[in-house]
Amino acid sequence: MNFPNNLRYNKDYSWVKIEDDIATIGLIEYSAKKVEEFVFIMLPSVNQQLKENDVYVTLEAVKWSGHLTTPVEGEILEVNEELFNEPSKINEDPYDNWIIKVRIEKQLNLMDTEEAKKYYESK
Amino acid sequence: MKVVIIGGGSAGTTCAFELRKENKEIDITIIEKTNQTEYSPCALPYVIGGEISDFEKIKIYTEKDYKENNINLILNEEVKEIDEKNKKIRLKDRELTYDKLVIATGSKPYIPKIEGLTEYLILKTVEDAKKIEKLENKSIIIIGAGMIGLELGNALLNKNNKVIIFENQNSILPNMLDKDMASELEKLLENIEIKKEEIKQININKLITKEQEYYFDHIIIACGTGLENLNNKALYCGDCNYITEEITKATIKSHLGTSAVRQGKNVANKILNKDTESIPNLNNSITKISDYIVGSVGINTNTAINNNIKTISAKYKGTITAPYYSDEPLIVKLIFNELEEIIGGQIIGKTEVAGRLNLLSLAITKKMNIKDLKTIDTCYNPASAPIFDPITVCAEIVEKKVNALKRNYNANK
Repeated sequence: MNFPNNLRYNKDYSWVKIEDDIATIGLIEYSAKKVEEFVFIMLPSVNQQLKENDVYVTLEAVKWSGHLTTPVEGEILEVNEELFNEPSKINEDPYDNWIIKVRIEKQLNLMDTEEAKKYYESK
Repeated sequence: MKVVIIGGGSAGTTCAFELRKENKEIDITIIEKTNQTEYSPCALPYVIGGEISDFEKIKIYTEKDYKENNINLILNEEVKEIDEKNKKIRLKDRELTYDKLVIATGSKPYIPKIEGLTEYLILKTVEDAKKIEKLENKSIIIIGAGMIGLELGNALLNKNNKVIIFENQNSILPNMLDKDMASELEKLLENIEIKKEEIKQININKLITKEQEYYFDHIIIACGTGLENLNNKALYCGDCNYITEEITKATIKSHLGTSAVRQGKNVANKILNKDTESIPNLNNSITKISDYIVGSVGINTNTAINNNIKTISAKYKGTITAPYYSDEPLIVKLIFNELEEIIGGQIIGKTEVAGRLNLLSLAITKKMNIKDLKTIDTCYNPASAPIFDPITVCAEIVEKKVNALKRNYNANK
């Protein structure tokens, strides 16, 4: 299981890269490699305000779909629109293909690499 | 009536035999500058690669066939002059008169301007192919990763050559595939080395790019065909002709076998004063490289953008059979316009490609929409086809994308 040291993680399969007050968010490799290729992605809109338990993205493979809840609260600043036409890029390289960038108002129970490994290994 | 046909390739020969089939009286003459009766030029790379055992096999007609059908065949002669006023053509040492003149002289390969490029091979005729067929255990550079470049690259690899293919458009099969499909194909063709570096110059047996130098024994140019002038008052058919592409209505060069043969038939019908059928031209193309068949119908995303056509598309990687029977991929891309009508399709797979592309070709001609394609009642048996055909799944994905965009649009309003 690959959980890079420079990232933080929530319990709903998202990674977060925190740089000052900006969070770059995506799907963890553990999930991206486990499911078949994504064929559809429902992206959120820029300026949308994310609160705890809010879904920020819906990913669909042919026989599977999942909603990811946000690891931080705050306003969505940027959405990786490229993924709309090529959602399978997330499967290929989940840590390179971020989904949204958020101005952080609150971090929501984030884990570091060791904690994340322990948590997902026990699942 | 005397009909003279210049060019004995697919278009010209089809025209001659079609005329003869319908009329036993017409005096028909074909003038061909090479020593070949009609053969299939598209098959040349497969003879070079040994998949077809010899050049004789790709002959469509022998000299005996022309004789039996009372078609005069003049080989190894070039037309020196066309005298339209007196309806005469001049050959090396004789003249022929005509009532109807058909020009089916094919295309000329395009040679890019590269500093130092003086000696090179091309693939156009059987003679060219015979030279290339002899290459074994050599270092070969092919310029152009279009259909011929890739077919040849694979053929030459079969003969223990080291092959590098250069493409300056950053994507293989650029006239056929969208970039995302091209990179899927490139991943599958792992044994073929493709470089997307800009060629600076050639120095005897060394090709120099910005990044590196590459040594070679032979260089082959496969950069498509150049433009011809159609100035004569004649009936044109085949690769020397221009056609109207159905979706954009653009005038494009005809460069495909089906189109050449159909034009040959149409010209024969014109001469016979019969109704000619208008056949939509979707610029469909297909090829087999290594184990993979790849093809497209209609237009690709780039062509759509260049013609100001807004598109919505999706790519889907399915399987040829039920995935538990075999996981051989079948990759489909469907492209629709703003009216949600299908305007393009691209497919890659080891088998089952041509049939699906033909289905998409019909769908384009009939202006079918996303829902039509999503709801095709397809065949299923685990060993023959997956339960949901990749085309229907792909159409479903496009529909989801359309709905997502509509929702976003409404939300933004």
